[in-house]
Amino acid sequence: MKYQDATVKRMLAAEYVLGTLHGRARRRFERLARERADVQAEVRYWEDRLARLQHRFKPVTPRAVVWAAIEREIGVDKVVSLDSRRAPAAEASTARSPRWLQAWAGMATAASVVLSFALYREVNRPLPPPQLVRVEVPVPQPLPYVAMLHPQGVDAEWLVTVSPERKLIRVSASGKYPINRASECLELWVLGEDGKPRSLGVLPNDGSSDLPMPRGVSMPKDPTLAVSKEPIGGSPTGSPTGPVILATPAQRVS
Amino acid sequence: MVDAEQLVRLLQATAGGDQKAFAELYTASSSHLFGLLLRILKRRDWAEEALQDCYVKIWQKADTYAPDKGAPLTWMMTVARYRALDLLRVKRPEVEMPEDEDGVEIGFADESSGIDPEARAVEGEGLGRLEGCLEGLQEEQRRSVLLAYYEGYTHQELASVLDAPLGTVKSWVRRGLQRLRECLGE
Repeated sequence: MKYQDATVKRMLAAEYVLGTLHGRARRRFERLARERADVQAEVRYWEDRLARLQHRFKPVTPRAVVWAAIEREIGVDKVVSLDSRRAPAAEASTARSPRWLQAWAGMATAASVVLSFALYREVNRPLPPPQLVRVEVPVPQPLPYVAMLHPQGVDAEWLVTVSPERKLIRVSASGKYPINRASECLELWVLGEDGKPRSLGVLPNDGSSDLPMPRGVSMPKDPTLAVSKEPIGGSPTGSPTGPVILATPAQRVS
Repeated sequence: MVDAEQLVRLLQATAGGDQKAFAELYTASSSHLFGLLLRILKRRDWAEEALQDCYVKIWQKADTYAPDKGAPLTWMMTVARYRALDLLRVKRPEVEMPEDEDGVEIGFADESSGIDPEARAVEGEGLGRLEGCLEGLQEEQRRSVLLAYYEGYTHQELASVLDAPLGTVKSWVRRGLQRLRECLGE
């Protein structure tokens, strides 16, 4: 392709930013843009101009589960800090079970913890894919809070267990609560000590699922769980906006 | 409205490895990126996957952001849009266009398509100018460009949606962009 031709270059940059340049031509253009300042300038031109259309994307609050996944991936808020056990990069990236891990795995078990260890920022180079390693660590676990949520007059219920120490909420749904799945969802809340609801995430429509405990949310001594009907993706405000369909105390299993 | 100066500070702190700032950045900006990703990807699971990718990338690349690259939210949304396009090209060839499988409702902030006055005031002259230039395009050219921008359509998909031959659609896009370039100037 005649990249020297200014018109062609302009058009490729425009179609690159618009997205209609695809496949191998797109990759080829990306390589070219990396090497050539004039091409970069043209890309920037279109990025700037077309970005004016961005305001028409309607903001939608993502589910809490996404942030939890990001934290796991970048290694923030690890369940168990690996800082003092950091293996050299080469060893950690290749070894499926480094020595320290074997030692841990051999210990008595109480809980299964998923550790994500990413070597981010340890070395200043492109990151290897994060590795998920499942290890058993001997952490004494208090028993979870449990509640059976059963909305009145509807053949649907959710068994919810909340394990604040493991930062995990497990929900098992049975029956079907009638909502318009195209536009609505059911969101789970815990009423805090101050009586204010805090989101625990969106309930699954069916089956079981694990939700990460949102950051900064703790369980009060006598927690009450509540469910409200919300727009798809969960409450846009962080507080219930739709009707509350039930509220039930949760008991600590003992 | 997201405070641009605040976002710049958060991005800079994120570049320095400040995890708390990164969390605040996410809180302040994620709904904007997620709205864009949902609109283009149409499926919540894909949009969530892409959102995760974007913030991991923002965490890694925060140091490459400089205020002269434009407003921080614009920069992050540009990152998100490219990510969405890449993901679409990988995923969409293999699947049917989803019929709202995941219950995702997709819409524009202003479905009536006119520019709302508040946005015009905030964006100022630039937006008005772009809109003016878009209005100067032929109907098919404008629709092709906007559909490609908002839906992430390929030429083929545009041809099918607009019910026109591939070559015709390609030239609508190309001419549309050329005329926009002339109208917008440097």
